[in-house]
Amino acid sequence: MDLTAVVARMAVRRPHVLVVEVPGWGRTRMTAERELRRRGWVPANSPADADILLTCGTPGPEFSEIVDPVWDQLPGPRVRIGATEGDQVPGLLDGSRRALLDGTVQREDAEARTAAAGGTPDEHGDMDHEDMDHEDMDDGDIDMPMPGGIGLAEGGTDRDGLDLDVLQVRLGPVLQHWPAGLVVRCSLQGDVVTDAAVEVLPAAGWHLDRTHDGAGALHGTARSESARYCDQAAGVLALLDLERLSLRAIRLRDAVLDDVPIGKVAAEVERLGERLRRSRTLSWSVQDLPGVHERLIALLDGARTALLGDADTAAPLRSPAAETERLERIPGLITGLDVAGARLVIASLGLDTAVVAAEGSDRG
Amino acid sequence: MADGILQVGPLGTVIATVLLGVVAVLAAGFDGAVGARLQGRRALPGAAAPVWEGARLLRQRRRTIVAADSLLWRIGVVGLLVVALLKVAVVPLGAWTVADLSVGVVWFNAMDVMVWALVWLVGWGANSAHALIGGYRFLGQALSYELPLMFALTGPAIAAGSLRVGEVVAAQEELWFVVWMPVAFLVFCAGVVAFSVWGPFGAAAGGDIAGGVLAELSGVDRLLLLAGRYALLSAGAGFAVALFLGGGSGPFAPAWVWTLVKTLAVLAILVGVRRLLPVVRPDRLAEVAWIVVLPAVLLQLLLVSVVVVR
Repeated sequence: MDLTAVVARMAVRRPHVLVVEVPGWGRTRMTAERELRRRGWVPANSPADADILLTCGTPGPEFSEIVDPVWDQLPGPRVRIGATEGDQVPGLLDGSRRALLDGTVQREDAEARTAAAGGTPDEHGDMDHEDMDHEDMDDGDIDMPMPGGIGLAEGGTDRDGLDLDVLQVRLGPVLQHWPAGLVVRCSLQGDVVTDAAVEVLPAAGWHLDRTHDGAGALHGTARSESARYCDQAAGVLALLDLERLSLRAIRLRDAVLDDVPIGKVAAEVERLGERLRRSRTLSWSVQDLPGVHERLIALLDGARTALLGDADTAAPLRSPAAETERLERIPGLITGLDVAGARLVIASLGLDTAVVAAEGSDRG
Repeated sequence: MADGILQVGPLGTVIATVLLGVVAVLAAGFDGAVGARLQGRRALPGAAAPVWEGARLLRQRRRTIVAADSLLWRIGVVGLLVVALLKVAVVPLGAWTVADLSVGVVWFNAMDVMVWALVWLVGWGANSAHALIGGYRFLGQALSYELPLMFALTGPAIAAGSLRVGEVVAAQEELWFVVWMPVAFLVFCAGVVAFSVWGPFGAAAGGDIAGGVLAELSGVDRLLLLAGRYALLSAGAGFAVALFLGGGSGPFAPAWVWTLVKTLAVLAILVGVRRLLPVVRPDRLAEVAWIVVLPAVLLQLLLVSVVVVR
């Protein structure tokens, strides 16, 4: 009996999948997440944790420039797939599992990587360093020897007036429970955000007329609008690690998309909203983050209101201008918070980056 | 040497190591089963998660990172497992113990202070912002849990008049310490969860920072760290049994069976807590730890001291 083969078969029983959502492909991502949960596969929260990289939608050039290095960071055995429709996901996942098992494919991939890294995998790992934005840190004329070619962090005065290193860190777009395509460039001292700038990376060939593209389904009806609200509420709850409540919101999201009778889902959404309003643990957890609790409840109210309207008719698109305005509020809201707080605040805003990505690409 | 406590030889050490491994795997299996149930799948396949996960990580490549402090990073990664083993060394299994130290309680405490350094090294060594934030978070959290944990440990030691774990167990022959030191027991259990970077005290490995100290780990490195966390939880549960739950005392079955049964019961609760409580951000924790928990555990100590002196 071949031991390697036995271990390999055991190893692919529960692959970890890093799901990347391109603005406009929320529906595909939701379907993918659901399929993972059904199979008992695990959504990865970093490239190091992943066996499979699944991109939902077609990223534009800037987005691709970020996803490619993320792919380089998957340890391997690894598989890269992309879906533009939910229906493709089960087949793609089945194929990925086979590819993970295929020793020849994986060996060739591994050899190619070693070759690309100049044959010295130890010193020049093929992993680009995603988390730190080196170019921004490199101030040009530093004469110091820099470890691995990475500029050293500069000092700065922190909120207590002490001298502390300033790191330039890019949050997003490859993060769990994070608005699709959103990038927040932060200056961090310790884990406190001292400065931030926001942008949204659009999909390839993005245009406002979304009836012709993959996002049509998501933005088409009030039902999908409602599902998006549930999804965002689930994201906030997941960031707080309130697992059961988060799963409840996700089940509601799936029920909304599954054409379960409106009245029934709406009542359930209301019950969850009531539960969150009363939850002492929840309000204590976010007590120091004004507005988060209220906005979380507002997300569920939004989900209910959307359903109580005419759920299966077309919903009006959110105005790009209003969405841009919400995005521009982010730096002001998160400066001075730690990363945990910043993430909760951003998640609670319920952003729909797809609307803005369209405008961004038109302007660009 | 305490009455009836037998220090085992090298073979005993091997058995203790294997036993810790088995208990840790059971803990991971339990967590997998509960997780699967919550997501609406059957529990039994979920319980096999540690096996699949272990195979997956053994087959996965390790990563190298540009300008990582590899030595310190690996020390942190391996260290948690080592520390858990060193902790178990002073936990008596029925009448047997690996090391019957005269300062067993302090030894345990010294080991959990080592965790500070180790988790920080894992965060620091990877040269990654997310991992670094995880490291910061752990230190912030440690400032909150360590003092209450230390005081909670002193309760049983004062009551037994000894720092030898075997004597602390013997002192509970008539009444388990958990009965009159409930606060110390609860604080100790919370401390165990906290130094295991688990559940409500798992912010250092939080999903919101891409896994924090875990963010850059793959393959056998990740396996060691995850195993280390379960091993720390298991060692902590075992120590809670010795300190507060009468060690191996119980009717009908031999002492070592009782120790194991009690340990698994405490462990199940510690593991399950993850699904019940939200993650507590370290700055939120500081407030509660210093204003509520620390005074409460000091009052508990006052009570214990008064009872002992009287």
